[in-house]
Amino acid sequence: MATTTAEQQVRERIANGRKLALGALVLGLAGLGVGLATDSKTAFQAYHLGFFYWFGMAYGCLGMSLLIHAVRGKWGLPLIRIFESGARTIPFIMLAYLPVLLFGMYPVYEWTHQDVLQTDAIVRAKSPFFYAPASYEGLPIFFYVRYAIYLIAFTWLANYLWKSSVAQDSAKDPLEAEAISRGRSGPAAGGIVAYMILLTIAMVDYGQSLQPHWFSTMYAVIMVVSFGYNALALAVYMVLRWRDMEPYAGKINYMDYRRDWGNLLFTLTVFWSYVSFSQFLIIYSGNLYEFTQFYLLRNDGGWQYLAYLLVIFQFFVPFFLFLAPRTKKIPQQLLVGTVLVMAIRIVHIFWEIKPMFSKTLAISPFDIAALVGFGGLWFYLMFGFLLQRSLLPQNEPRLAEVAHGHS
Amino acid sequence: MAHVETALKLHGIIAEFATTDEIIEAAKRTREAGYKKFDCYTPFPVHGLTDAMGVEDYKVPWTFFFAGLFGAIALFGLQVYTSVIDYPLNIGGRDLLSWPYFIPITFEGMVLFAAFTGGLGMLAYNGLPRPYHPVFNVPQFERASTDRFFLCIEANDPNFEPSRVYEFLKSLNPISISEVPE
Amino acid sequence: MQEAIKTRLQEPPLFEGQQTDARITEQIASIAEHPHPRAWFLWFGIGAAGALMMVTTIVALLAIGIGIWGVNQPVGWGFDIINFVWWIGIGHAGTLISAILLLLRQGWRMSINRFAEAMTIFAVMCAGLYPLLHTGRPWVAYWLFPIPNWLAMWPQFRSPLEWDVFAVSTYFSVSLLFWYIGLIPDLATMRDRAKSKIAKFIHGIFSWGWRGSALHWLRYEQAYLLLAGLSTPLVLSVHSIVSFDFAISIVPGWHVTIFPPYFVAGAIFSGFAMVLTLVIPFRILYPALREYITMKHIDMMAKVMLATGLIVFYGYLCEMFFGWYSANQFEQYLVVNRFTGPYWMTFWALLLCNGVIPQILWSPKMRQNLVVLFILSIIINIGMWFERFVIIAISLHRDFLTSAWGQYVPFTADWTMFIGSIGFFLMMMFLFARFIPMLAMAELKDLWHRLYHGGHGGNGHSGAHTPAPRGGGQ
Repeated sequence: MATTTAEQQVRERIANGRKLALGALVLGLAGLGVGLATDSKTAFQAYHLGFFYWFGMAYGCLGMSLLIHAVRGKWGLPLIRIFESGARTIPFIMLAYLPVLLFGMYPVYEWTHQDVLQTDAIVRAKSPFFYAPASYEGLPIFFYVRYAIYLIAFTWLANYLWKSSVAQDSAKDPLEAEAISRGRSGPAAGGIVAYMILLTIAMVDYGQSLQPHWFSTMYAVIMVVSFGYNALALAVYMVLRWRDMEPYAGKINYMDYRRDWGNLLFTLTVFWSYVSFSQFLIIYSGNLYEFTQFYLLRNDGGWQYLAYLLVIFQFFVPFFLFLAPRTKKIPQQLLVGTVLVMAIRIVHIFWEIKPMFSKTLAISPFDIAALVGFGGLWFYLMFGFLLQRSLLPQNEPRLAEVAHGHS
Repeated sequence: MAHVETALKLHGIIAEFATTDEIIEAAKRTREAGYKKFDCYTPFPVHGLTDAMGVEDYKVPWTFFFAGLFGAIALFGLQVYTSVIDYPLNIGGRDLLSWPYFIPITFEGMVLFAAFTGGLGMLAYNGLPRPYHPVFNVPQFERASTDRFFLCIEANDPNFEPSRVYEFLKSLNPISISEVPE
Repeated sequence: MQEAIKTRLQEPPLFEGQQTDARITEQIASIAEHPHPRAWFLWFGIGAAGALMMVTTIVALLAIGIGIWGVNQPVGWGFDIINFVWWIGIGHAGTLISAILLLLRQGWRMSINRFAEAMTIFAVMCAGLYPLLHTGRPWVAYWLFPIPNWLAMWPQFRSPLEWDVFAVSTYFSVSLLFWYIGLIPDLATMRDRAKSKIAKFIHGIFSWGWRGSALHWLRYEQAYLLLAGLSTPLVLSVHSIVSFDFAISIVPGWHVTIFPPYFVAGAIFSGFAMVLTLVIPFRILYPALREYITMKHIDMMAKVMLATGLIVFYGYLCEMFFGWYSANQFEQYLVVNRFTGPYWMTFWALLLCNGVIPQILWSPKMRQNLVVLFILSIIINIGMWFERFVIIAISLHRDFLTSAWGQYVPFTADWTMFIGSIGFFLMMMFLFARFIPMLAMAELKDLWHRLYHGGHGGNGHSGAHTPAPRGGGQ
């Protein structure tokens, strides 16, 4: 591995971060342990929330790496290692969800309630999606099978990209490296197709099915955008924090990169707002309870304040922030933007998931424990993978091209 | 100036160059030589030329921004005025101020106002339309829109003195130098 | 071995052959200055005949009424709305190419943007005609605008049809402005090249006396980039609003939240197909274009088609899955009805044309085969037309109550109007090729210098530059 002493400073930071993450993991586990012992219902619901948020981060990383490889975007080169490492956490995050699958289905998923299945024709009509081939009185076999499919398929995808970039790093001559880098573009494009289809179904499983009467074809799109947006903000944040240290110093301090990242964040801000507003407008005007229940729940009992926060901090503030050319010129200002995006993402996911468990705005300490615990796990793993490799891709002439180009 | 009035009133003296690098170099040196009123003419936007000339201008982006803001507010206001105040109608039991319905047209208003004010404003800032301009009097200038690059030091520059300007331009190694009659 | 890899890794260039500023001008401007190949008259004539057919239909329509169309109850939206959505979708590729790709700094846009934008404008003209005539009384169409009038009434701002009025008219006027501002420097070139006094005068007027001053260029580029920045969300909004025409209602198969992005992708898909349908024959008709619209461009367009086609296909799959998952009998029936109902052929045709056949684009060989691409682009155009037919006619002909079910059959006037509008579109495209420089000369020169001149500040050689073996701009 091309670990030069020059990278030492950043590597130390990462190693320290890893210790911190381990601490967070232990803390979160302790909190959740207390929760499971005292109030298992709330604790499992919190567990699901923590899983959903960090699952999103991991999948966002996978999505961004697929995108960067498929379109061969130069803007992604300094960030690619972070995305690749984040994507490799997928199997661990998925496996960490096992406690809910084994012991916590009842508090989380309403469609496992036999009384609901007996009396509610709509939920019963949907039950084959979870229980097939068994009847709804048995185990949710199909639901478990899909879990296994996500686990295997996404793990395989993440490992494929990882191995391919390892091969590029250790290639003997530049032409071979270039051939590997180009050859990856087609499979990555195919990977995006698989990614979108599987994630759409996964979003029914872990998101929409919490409110089994409700569904929206836009939901998966909103989530995919949110995940990618979050992962991008995190990667940009990390790289900008380390901008004065090797190997980033002198390589990423170029206006080109920051302009591209800022513009991409701007685009995702607008796109997120566009899909979210479109879903809202269509449901608002259709005015059928089947659909409106989603917003009725989230526009009442204190949840509406989170919605206002989203409108302000997920649309208006980042819109003007990322629109301004100044933001892309001053690293500090871009840094603020990425923090804002990540912070508001917690509000967003909380607003999407939590109202299904609680009609009024309520933040339980277990929610925080779960978010911190899963976050600790995620960062611990991601930093671990990050330390295994050089921080910038090797044998990548396009990295230098941006640094010296005028485009 | 009035005392040295010649038969031919000059707009300036113009030099012709063949490449982008030469015009950038020429602009830099003209600026360094202390000339303020000079302009370059190129067949396509040459990057780095305005920097070399020391020209900056941000009127256009701000025009877009404020026109867009105005358009959005104006169209939202129009919808609120007509649907809430002037002719309130109950449509499907929604609030009179059913703001989600007003967003699409508000957005279109933003785009329409920003695009037209900004786009036409750009031409206006440039003093266009102006079908006639003294530089068109120079025969070589026909190639200014094809493959030649021109630098014109104008007569209203405080340092303008025809023979010295001529000598200066000559030192830049242009293809040709011509007087531009007013 | 090394050499083999090397040649394989070479990307096709964005320019064929060696270019100079003078050559770019000469090649492109002379197309509009010289007499045209005989084939031009043939195609122009065919287009004009179609346009005449369209005008005849419109006259009949105004005299008799929209009863001459096949629309009925319950299928109140027939060919007119299908064609409206189809045309406006085609138009979107133009704006996409010129705006989004400019923002993404994709060099390959430079040589097709003018052409594609012209296509946008003519396609939106065709599109706009349909809803206007569909109103039944187009002479009072001004009621659609918020003009204080003797009725003391305002337009219904809570209706997506009213949003359409604003969206389409904004889209048309902003596209025209964007196109025209892009044209100004090239019209100045035409003015300077013109031999006759009249041509010089006309070009002089339309170029607003553009003289290429550095400060002017600075402001021009700022404005152009900002217009691109505005046009990008504008395209999205226009087709999203078109999709709201359906999604806002509660008809089965229409009240679908994914409609906005799915419609936008479909629009881009069909638009790129139309660009290819036109560009491939134009390259044959005007060989000079081949130097600027290279196989690299064709390849990129094919890739965009593949990507957007996949999004559209994803939309179909979503509709099917969520149709079942909804556990709503009307939604579930719609899915079945699409597969097996009276219009099953249109639905299967749509899956085949938009979903299955475009998958051949995964193969790089197919993306280089002009014959395959040309046929494919026509198949996609047809497939996207079927998509609108499926969405509109199938949803409308079987809604909630069986007593309200019906059938829809287009009449002759529907066909003459549709085919006529294609003719009108062709005619306009050929007129455009005759009178206006088809490619953006100033932008091409700019691109050439950026790609092969190594930016500015080099050692000052000009004239012929040797193309470096890379595509650039990615």
